[in-house]
Amino acid sequence: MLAILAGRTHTCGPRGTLPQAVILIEGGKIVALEERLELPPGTQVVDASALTVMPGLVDAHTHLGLQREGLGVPDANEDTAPLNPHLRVLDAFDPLDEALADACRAGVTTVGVLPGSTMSFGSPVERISVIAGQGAVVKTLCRGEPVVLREPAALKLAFGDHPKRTFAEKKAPPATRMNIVGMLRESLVGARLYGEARAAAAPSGGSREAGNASPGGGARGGEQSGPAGEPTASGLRHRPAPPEYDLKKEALLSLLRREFPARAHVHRAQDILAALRLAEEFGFDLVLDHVTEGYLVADAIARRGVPCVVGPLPFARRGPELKNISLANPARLAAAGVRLAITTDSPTYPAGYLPVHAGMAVREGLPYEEALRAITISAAEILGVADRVGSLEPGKDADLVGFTGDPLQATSRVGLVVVSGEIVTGEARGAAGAFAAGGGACGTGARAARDGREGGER
Amino acid sequence: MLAIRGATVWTGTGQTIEGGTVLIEGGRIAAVGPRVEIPADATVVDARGLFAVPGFIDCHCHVGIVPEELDWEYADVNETTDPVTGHVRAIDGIDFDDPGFSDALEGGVTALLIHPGSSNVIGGTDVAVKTAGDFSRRILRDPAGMKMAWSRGGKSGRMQGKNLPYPTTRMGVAAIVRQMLTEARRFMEGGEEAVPAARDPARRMTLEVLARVLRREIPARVHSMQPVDFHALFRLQDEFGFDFTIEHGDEAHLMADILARRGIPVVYGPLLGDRRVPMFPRSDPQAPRILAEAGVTVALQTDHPVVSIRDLRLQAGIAVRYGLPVDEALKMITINAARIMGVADRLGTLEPGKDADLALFTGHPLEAQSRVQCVLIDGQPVWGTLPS
Repeated sequence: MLAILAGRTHTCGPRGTLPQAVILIEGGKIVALEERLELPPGTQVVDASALTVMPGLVDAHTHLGLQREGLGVPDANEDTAPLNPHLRVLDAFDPLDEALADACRAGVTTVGVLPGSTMSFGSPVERISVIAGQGAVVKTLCRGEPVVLREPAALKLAFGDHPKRTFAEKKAPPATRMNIVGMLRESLVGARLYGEARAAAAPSGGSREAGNASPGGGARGGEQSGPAGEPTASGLRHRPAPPEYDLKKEALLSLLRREFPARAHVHRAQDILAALRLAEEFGFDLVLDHVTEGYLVADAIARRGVPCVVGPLPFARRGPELKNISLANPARLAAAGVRLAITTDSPTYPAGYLPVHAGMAVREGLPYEEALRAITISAAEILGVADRVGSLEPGKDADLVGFTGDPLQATSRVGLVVVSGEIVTGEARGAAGAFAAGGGACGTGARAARDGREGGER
Repeated sequence: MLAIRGATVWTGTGQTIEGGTVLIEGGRIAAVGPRVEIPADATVVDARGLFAVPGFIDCHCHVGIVPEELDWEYADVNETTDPVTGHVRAIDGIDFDDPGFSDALEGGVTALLIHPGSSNVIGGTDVAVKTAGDFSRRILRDPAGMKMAWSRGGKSGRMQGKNLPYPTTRMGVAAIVRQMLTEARRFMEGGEEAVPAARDPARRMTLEVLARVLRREIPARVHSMQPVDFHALFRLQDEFGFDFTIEHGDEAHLMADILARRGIPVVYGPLLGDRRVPMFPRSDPQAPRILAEAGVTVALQTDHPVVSIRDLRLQAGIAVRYGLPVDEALKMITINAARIMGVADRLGTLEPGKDADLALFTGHPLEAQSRVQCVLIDGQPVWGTLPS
């Protein structure tokens, strides 16, 4: 058992911020978190009483593991085709990407990994397909195999200038925003019809909604029904042959069944509105990413309850699509009631500076607590992994980070990182005897821990 | 006459004065100290609670030459028609209305060294400018250096320029520089007689700038990343005798002692930056500290628009996060940068006689949550408002 004697603690959960906390960890999970706590004998103790502790940070939008930083040809976007719903980012994910370890050491312990957005040297064009593929949620601490929290976790779509330019270079569609949405609509209608055809071929008949068809149901239905047009055993009615199994349509069907959300790469307001319209038309869950002009249509986003993953904030304007970039964007979206995460888009910006980005948003009016949530629990909720990470609560993974000062200031250092109960940065100071930790000032807790440890060792 | 009173003043000369006064007259600093006598006719500004620093200086950026809001087609940063374009000048490509200049002010940056890009081996001359203010005082130094590019930079023009005669190896990059410096030396000795190629006006202009490099009037400012690049530059330096700065210098900290011994400054970064482009593959946030400890003069850069110039001060904040003392970090965006730019006689510290270029922050300037309250250039507010 491991106990973290934490100083000021932002739980980012129901407990809010505590002046100090004892966090008890067993089997990689948080088993208790209290201001004062009786420690079982033999408990390993980490004295983090001088640190400000918070949940391991969550960056909801990265391309980590898809391009060894600066080396090799990136695997983030299959820009040979505009529509790639069947691609899975996990198939290209490299758990040895040093950027993952960097992020982990800086306290970013969980990341959403999305396809799309490749940049190569000498080209000003960021390359991304209209449908870039399926994302995953992983921990940044990899001991050999990646630790996957959710996969597939999202379907990445892209609107606006970037997909246009990607395919303009190849003289292939889409050439306009009309056709970006046109191609998406065509794909989604195709998937819906495919789903209906598959449901019609299923043994229970055609009455089932396409959205309820189970994976592989089409194939099973095929075995039971006879060749197309032939009478079934009962001889009462015909059941059509199932459509040929189609990986791309299956992926889109999963989106329509709301098994995971679409993550839409959008910068300009018009693209934000297009994504909102499409989601309404087809009834899929949507998350907006980048959302550079979000503050200009904040009410439209808030009204539909669509969450936003905003950033990266330190961008210069970088051309017409980012012309209206503003550090006040997160503050204004939050004020309108939009659920919000902040992202570094790593490796665009190193993931480890995520809290600095959040600090920049605070400078322009984002409430401090909101900024903390934007890099922890809100990001985890948007990724669909809030049951595991994003806040310090009993039952959740023991992922936490301790800073020497205000976590959102540029100069604060990371003094402690724990992932799934494993100390990545910092050290445990041996086994404690039975003692009550906490109470009084932070320093008292630390002294109690030291005394307890000495007692235990004697 | 303007007296800014009550601020925490970081002078850049080893002092942090609580409740200090900065007295400004005629666009220059007249006095700085804890107890400055304020003349009766001076306008007094109550700056209690604010933090005053010399205006920050970004030694490596492309503000105005890579457009902020316009498309890439409007960029004037790389003349990729030949690997040697020493005759072109950054000053001729700068749009002084670009919003990058106001971004700089928003970050308290009052002076910039604007470079041509790094697609060419010899890319053109850099210019040092003030961010705002009277045009007659705005150009600080032109040329301020000759841009060169090693590493992938010098070779990359080929990708953009298709079938142009660009080198494909570091050997080829070094050979071009050696050839041009040899020509420049012969041109200095014997003019067009010795170098018939100098009858071409463009070549002649290039040679004239390189002659200034060889006379050590201006440095070469070399986009270079790794020991392999630095060693080639050391050899050329020993052969021809010239000064150079290392720009970016991802792995400069691996050779910190040698750089200190040779007195070669490093303009490091950007730290907050974009590692997706395979340009800064091995950038290390500990490098500024390691270099400074070895005695190298270091400045930090944004390479705007790679990172917005607004966030120059956060580069320094991140260096502190990785162990650099706060004082050293501030020097890397003030006096060190002024020295590397060659304008330390006018900028970089708050001292009597220097230009009254300063920024007032609502909190510590290296912290993400602090805001700029006011920026003054030549004693005039150019961003925000002075407190009453």
